[in-house]
Amino acid sequence: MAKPMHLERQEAYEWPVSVYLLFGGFGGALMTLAFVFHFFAATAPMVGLSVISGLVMFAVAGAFLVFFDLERPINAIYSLNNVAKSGISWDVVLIALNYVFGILFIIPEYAELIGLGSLGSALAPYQVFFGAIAAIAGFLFPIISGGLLAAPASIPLWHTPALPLLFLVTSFALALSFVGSIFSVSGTVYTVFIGGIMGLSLLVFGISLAYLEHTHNGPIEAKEGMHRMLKKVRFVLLYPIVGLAFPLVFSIYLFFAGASFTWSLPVLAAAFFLGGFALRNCVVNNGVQIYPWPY
Amino acid sequence: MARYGMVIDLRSCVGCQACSAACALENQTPYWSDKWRTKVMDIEKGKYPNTSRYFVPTICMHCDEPACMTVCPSKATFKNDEGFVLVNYDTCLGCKACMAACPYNARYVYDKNDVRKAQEVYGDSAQHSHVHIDKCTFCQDRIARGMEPACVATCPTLSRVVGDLDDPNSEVAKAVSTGLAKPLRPDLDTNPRVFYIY
Repeated sequence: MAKPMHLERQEAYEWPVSVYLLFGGFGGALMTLAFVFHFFAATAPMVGLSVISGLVMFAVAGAFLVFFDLERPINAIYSLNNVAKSGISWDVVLIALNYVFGILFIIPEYAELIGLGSLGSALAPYQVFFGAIAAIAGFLFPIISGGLLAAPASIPLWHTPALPLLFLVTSFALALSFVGSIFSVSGTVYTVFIGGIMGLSLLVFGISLAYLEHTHNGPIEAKEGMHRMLKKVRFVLLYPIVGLAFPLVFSIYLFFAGASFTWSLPVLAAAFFLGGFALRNCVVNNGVQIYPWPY
Repeated sequence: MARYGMVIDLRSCVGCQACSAACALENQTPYWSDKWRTKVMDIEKGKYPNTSRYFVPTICMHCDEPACMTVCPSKATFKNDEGFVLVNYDTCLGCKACMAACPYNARYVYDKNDVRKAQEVYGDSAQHSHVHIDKCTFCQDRIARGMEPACVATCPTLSRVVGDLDDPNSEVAKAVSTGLAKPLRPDLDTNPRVFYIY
């Protein structure tokens, strides 16, 4: 029997790709925030921790991609052959830049501690330069990795600039609430984190609406993909409710009521983590294609 | 150098799938996993009693501007001198970016199970010993020997014709230049070399 022609789920990407997108974006956002923290005395103690956390997240992201997604992990050595055009090659470059310049950025902070005082002194004048490179590479990572999905026109559910933007902003919301959580261990909840999270939540809300509009008015494959996503309880519960509405409402309440709970930022970080994973996982899983039949 | 292309006449395709079988035998594609380099899709159009049924044989379009080649991080997907889009099995990562990028869904994973099964079925003559992303090669080895691709040679209704798109006297070039044969999704600017008459 010939195969009936209908909407079929894409067969290229599976759940490890969503882990890669989440942890890679998280790591990239942490690197960028570390550079911002460097300029403010109150947040300066978070620089080293953010960079180290960011590099750990990149390691998790890379490990998932290499060991769970690539069919031939050993051939990853060829992944830099097409830096001019391939988004995957760019991802590898950005991760490498984050490792090299992220480490150079924090060496002056810890040089005395690890017995590399002279090296720290030598690198200190260039610290801002190193940090800027790592920050730019970190900022670009969620955009480029989201672009891997968004660039090809073959899967219309993904084919929109709203998707990498959504990945970018949700990554920053997660990273900011994560760092804020660590700050709040001391018992102080900084309003700047709450304000930042509120702003990012509003952005996530706006971009989510733009993405919904793309799927609503887009090709039949995009509509079908979103329809399948909305039929999944785990998506509806974890993204629109836990990962979007809850942080938005809760951060607005915390900011305007001046409320201060030490548990608020860890709860927000958990919500962003769950929502971020649900978003990426369901978007990846529900990309559908139809053969471009001529009739 | 000839610029090979193919025209598939959907008006005469009967959906017998001899093309799929011939391709599987010629290129040892993993039919046991229901993976094919060329497969025939079945379209039902309209509602009873005004219905019609069509068969659409699918294949790699060997685009002049292939989306799969652009996204390949290792340049394992490349175009040879004749413009056939091919895969270097030795450097393919299996990242599947090409599968996601191809708007014609022409690729599949030749996975570990397929490699093992191919060894069982074909023994020492197995063509594929590595995991890779597989696709139609336009039977370039047959073309080099002056033969038609296996799917073309076996089609009982002569629905598939192959020829030089730059030779104005070839059947393929005539069908394309008169507008009788059209590419799929021309809006994507991939410039496919496979055209359909419908």
